[in-house]
Amino acid sequence: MSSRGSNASLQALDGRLPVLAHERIYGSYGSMLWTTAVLSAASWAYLIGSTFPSFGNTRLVILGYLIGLLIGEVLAVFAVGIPSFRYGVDTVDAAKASLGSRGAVVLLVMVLATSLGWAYVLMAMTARGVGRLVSAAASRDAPVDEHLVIASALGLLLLVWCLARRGPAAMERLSKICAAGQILIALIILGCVVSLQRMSPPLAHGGYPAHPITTDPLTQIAYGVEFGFDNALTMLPFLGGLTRLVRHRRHIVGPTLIGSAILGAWLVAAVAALAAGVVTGSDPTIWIVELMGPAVGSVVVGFLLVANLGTLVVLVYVASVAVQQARPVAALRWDWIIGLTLLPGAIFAFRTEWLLARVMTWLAYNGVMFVGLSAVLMTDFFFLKSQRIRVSHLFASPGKGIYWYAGGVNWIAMGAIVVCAGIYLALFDPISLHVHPLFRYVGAGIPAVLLGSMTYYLAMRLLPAGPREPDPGHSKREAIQVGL
Amino acid sequence: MPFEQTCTPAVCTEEIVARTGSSLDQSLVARLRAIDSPDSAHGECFEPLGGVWAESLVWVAGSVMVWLAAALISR
Repeated sequence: MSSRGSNASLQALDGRLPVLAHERIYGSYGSMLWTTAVLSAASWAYLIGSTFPSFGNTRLVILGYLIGLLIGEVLAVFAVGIPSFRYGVDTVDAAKASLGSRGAVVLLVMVLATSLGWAYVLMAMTARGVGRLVSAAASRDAPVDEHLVIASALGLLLLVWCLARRGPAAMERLSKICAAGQILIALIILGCVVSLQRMSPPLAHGGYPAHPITTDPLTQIAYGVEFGFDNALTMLPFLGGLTRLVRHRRHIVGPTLIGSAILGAWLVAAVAALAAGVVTGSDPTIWIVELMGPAVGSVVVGFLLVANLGTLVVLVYVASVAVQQARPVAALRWDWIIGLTLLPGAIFAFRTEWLLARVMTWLAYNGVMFVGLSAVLMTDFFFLKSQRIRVSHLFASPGKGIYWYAGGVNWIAMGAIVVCAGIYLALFDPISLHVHPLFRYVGAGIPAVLLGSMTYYLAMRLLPAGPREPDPGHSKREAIQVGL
Repeated sequence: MPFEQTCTPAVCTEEIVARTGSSLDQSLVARLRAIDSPDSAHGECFEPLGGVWAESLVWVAGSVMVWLAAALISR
């Protein structure tokens, strides 16, 4: 897939061109399931799960996390998955119908920031994991060799480039292997944790922290629901890019929920949460070795780090399709585009510790960013446009087409996104974890989406947003200029 | 939510033309015409969602019921 001009199907799969039904490569239940699983089961899921015990009753938080994941994934599927499946277009292109041709830049920035942010975080985690493994092999207390970390990060980027340039068909095959490996490792760790808990009592206070963030069971469940819901919405930037490759509609909801929510995000986080009762620390590359011993633990961590490759390739693929919204980039060869998206990673390879400290904090605000977008995109497609987009208008020249709205932006949608973010932050601060009294009953993301959707629907019905869609029955034949 | 017949691709009445003569834009036009044509090869993508709604409803309703049950039991 080295040449952009090889054939139209490959151009579509690697680029922004709409993918037609017969070209789609996800033709089975398993293909979508494994790809979404590999996206959610990466090493960061262990970090998320290891925080659960600090909220009190770990089992309630784990249950709430599953509930939030399932509800959030359904929302993500309807907000971006279905429109992209219908028309074969990328998330950002589909969003132009509701946000405006220029307003969709907001989503583009979020897609790039999230996909590349997580990709670089995963690169840093994997590289530091390699450094830690090698150091531990030499001496138990030896410090991590930073030169080795940098070399590992750069080597990883090169490997991702080699794999991602082969296109989405290779990505789908790699996802199957990596996701199966990640899930198998999680199950092995779960077995170890369960057997250890049987042999010896968990750490102090019956596995619970001495000073949990809350002792109220309803709030504990609500925290779990909120983390699950927010985590599921981080699929928003990726889901459209994947469902445009799906051939049958029956392979959208089930595979996404089972793959991403249950087998990916929930299983891994639940294992890490339960393990936190018998080991110390949150970094899986440390506590897995502590749990399983230096020999077996190092092998398992090694497999875990290799399995991260699948996640990295999917993240980079999504970012590389999205970045083609810039016309000069769309004209480049696919392997150059991949190189372009990986380039900032080469700089971050020298600052992996800084990256993990800063970017992880920033990514905590993912929920705030995506609640409003999901509310607007879903309401617009299903309740205002009756599942019908004039797809040619998504590619119309600047200033033209029915999705230009006012200056290229649907300002009502932007207002609704701000309203959603305001409601969300009023109920829950993702950094300080401070919550409103209502949070214990409904969380923050779910009411923000519901109220934001109603606000957007009413505002679009009552206020003029821009040019209205012509009556489908009208007979005048108009010309529309389109381009990438 | 009903997916009405007006959602089929055949409603488009416009003539789609490429902004430039580049191969990418020409390819885009061909694809948009294929999606818009009455006998679109896009097939199942434009059919009613049907089971997708039912499946989603089961997942969401089930999750909400488990939430309620857990909240009631844990109080």
